Amino acid sequence: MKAQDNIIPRFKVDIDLDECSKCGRCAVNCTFGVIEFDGEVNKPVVVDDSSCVACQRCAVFCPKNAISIKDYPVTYAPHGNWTPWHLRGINEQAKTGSVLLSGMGNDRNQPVIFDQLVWDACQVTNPSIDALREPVETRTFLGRKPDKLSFNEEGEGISLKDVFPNVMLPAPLIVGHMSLGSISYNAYTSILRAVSEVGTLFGTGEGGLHQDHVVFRGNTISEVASGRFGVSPDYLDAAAIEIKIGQGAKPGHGGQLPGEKVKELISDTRGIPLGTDALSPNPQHDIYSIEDLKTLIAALHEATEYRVPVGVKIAAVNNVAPIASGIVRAEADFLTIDGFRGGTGAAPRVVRDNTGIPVELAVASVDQHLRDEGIRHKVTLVAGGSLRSSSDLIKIIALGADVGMIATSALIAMGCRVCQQCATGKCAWGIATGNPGLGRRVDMEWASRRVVNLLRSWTADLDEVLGIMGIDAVESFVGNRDRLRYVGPNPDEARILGVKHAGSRIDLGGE
Amino acid sequence: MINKGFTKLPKMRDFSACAIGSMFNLEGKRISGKKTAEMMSVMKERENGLGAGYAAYGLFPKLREYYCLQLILDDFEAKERVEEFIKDYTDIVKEEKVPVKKDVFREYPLVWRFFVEPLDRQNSDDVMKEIMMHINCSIRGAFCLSGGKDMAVFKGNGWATQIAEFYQIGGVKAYMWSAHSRFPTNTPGWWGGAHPFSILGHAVVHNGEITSYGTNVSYLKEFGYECRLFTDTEVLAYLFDLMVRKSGYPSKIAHEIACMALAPPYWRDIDSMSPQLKKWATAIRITHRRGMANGPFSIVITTDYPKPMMIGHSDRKKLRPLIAAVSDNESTFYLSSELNAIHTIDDTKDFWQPDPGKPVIATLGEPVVRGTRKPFDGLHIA
Repeated sequence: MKAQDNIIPRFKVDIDLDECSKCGRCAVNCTFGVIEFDGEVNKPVVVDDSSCVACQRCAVFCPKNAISIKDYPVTYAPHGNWTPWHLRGINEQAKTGSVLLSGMGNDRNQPVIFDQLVWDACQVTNPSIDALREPVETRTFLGRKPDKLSFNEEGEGISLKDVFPNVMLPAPLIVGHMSLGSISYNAYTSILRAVSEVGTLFGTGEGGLHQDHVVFRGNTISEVASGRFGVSPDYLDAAAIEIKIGQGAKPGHGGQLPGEKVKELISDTRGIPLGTDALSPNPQHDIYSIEDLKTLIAALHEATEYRVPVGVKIAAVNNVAPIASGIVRAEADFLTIDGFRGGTGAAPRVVRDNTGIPVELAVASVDQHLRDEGIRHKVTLVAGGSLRSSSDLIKIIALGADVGMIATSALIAMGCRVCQQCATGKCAWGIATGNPGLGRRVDMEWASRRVVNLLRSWTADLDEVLGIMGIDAVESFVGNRDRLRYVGPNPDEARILGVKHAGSRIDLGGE
Repeated sequence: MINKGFTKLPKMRDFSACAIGSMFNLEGKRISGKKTAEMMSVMKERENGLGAGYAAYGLFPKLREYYCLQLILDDFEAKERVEEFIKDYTDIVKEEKVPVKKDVFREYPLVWRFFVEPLDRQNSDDVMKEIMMHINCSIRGAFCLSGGKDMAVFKGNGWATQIAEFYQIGGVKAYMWSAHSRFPTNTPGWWGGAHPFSILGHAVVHNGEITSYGTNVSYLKEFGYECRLFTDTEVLAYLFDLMVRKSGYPSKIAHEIACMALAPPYWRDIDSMSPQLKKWATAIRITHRRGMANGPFSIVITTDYPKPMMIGHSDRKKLRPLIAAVSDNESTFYLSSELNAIHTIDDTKDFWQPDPGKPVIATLGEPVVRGTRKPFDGLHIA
């Protein structure tokens, strides 16, 4: 490698040796080879700034707060068009000749529509509800709903025919799919423990279900993805099944688990050789059309004797609304829309950063389209793709989602610092790694407690907000866009969202 | 004198805080509207003169087979437009000008009624629903107050006493009456915006505000109900029609299903129900989840489907008042926002506060069940 190949590091790590207690934790914790402990001089040494990803593991674990991580103090010649981001990308690709892989969601700075929305509250003509003292209900059912109920009248008796299978959730909040392999055994188990404590669901991802996790089956959505890893009759015996067509971070792209992360555990669960890349095909090769999808939905319904709701996950793309309508008509029980900011363990950066549309627009347009077709009430609409806070959750519900889905937020609760190195398998926090030694860094008791706290606190936030809007059951808030207002600059955006501009009173012009 | 603009929809939705008064002769005896008007007159504190109305059942014994389209019209041309439209879908059996008193309002609309029989007799209710919606959405200068059989709605922009005088309610005889006066918090003064809101044989009077309006409107639209009247009460009438009539539910349970869907039991209560009732309540709640009415309401629903019935209902927290009473001789059932309104015309001691979110249902010719009745009581359900 020539000197010209060097790319200026992004971060500079400094250890204040006056403060440093020479305990060596920083070096032990750094998994990227930035800090080493030099036994001869008995102090930590920064050996390679260029490998630092600002994951903060060393700084958080330093007992003396002696470590600082700063932007690297070599500036790029200022240019509004050729930014350091572009220069770095070109240099990396010129050096390696390959596709740039990245983890987590789109990190580009496009405006976030959630941040352009505000909501309503009660004043005078209707009382707000005190969520701390009065019931505010968030219970939600995932599954298909009939147009109406069916009854049998026999003599004096009336019996209600069974409705479709539905999974009861304490709140409209689930944890989205992350496979064992994309995240570590400990991280995976922690989430399963958390959702089982809360009573909600976690998507298995496409990696199958490890035998240790069979006990959590009642709280899992088994994913059937294009690689079909781990799909077995036992695997399908879950709370719900989801056919993964697309993922928000990489619409049109199959799952990718780099060989670096395929250790023994993963090799066993997925049934693939050690160290091989697990690359799922881009399309499902038995689904080239909506009628093929319908066949698979029917097959999964049959295989599970109609006891388990079968859903379909698609990425938010331009034509998401008519596609969604086709999926509902193909008899999916629930439909998951994953927005373009959604996360991933590994995706080509060019795909991740530029493909798909924001989930806010996708949900609004799907909800509207399904209403126009008169089939919205049949299906449970799940939406994710970067719900960063309870306010994002609340807004996506008002825009039309029955259930919000988080994944990155759950990882952040367990320590993730969103340094985007998931694809490398080096995660210093032990979350996105197949290395069992690193995986043990996730203390499962602590991590599951943190995820439980996150899920419960968002639910409590939802209670509060429903209360101030005078709504005591979340089903009365789903798609209730009347209660949102737009404060952004773009009238087109507001039109697609079906949300009036702030300052408009309720129902100018009606539906 | 005919003036324009009574049927014009304001471009805003109005909220209301209001008075409700209603009476129902359970023996089917037709009584003058004077008593109902008296009930309303003592609740003047609850209105502000921006709308009141009366619904009456049993008005046309000789024409009870026919749907009565009761209309307010800006002028005779509007009447002709309506006639032109409805004659394609119905036989017009009879039409008449509804008598009104001239000197109550300086300006007032033409009030007219057509007695009709739909040509498509298999789907007569659906046809009439569509006709009502079309008139209200699309025929300029016309507004359909009601379109049921043997019933009509009398309403307009004014105080309850003025409306009673205008329509000479004292001279109208009916076995079931509901009435309403408004205190809207903004001021779209239009005649069609007063209560009762009626579709087919159902009429709803409502005190409150529906916070789930947006969700309900979209739910109704999926089943062909267009909400264009800019009032939350409209959705209650349509939701009731959807669940009681359109759904085709067995008639002995349809009303209870509708009431349960509008204000379902809390999940904590459903969880402690018997297994059968839990199954029913869960299925009703999740199937009609988008039809749940949230926010404060007390309502009186009067209907003739499938038989004459008066239902008092409230939101689950009962954030608006509603009191029920039965006359000492058991002949008359009352619902009102205030007890004093009932006591103005009947000093019965037999009155009670219906429980929050639980309907009180009175049916023609049947004894009234006091207090809270268990859902689907007396039925073998499974």
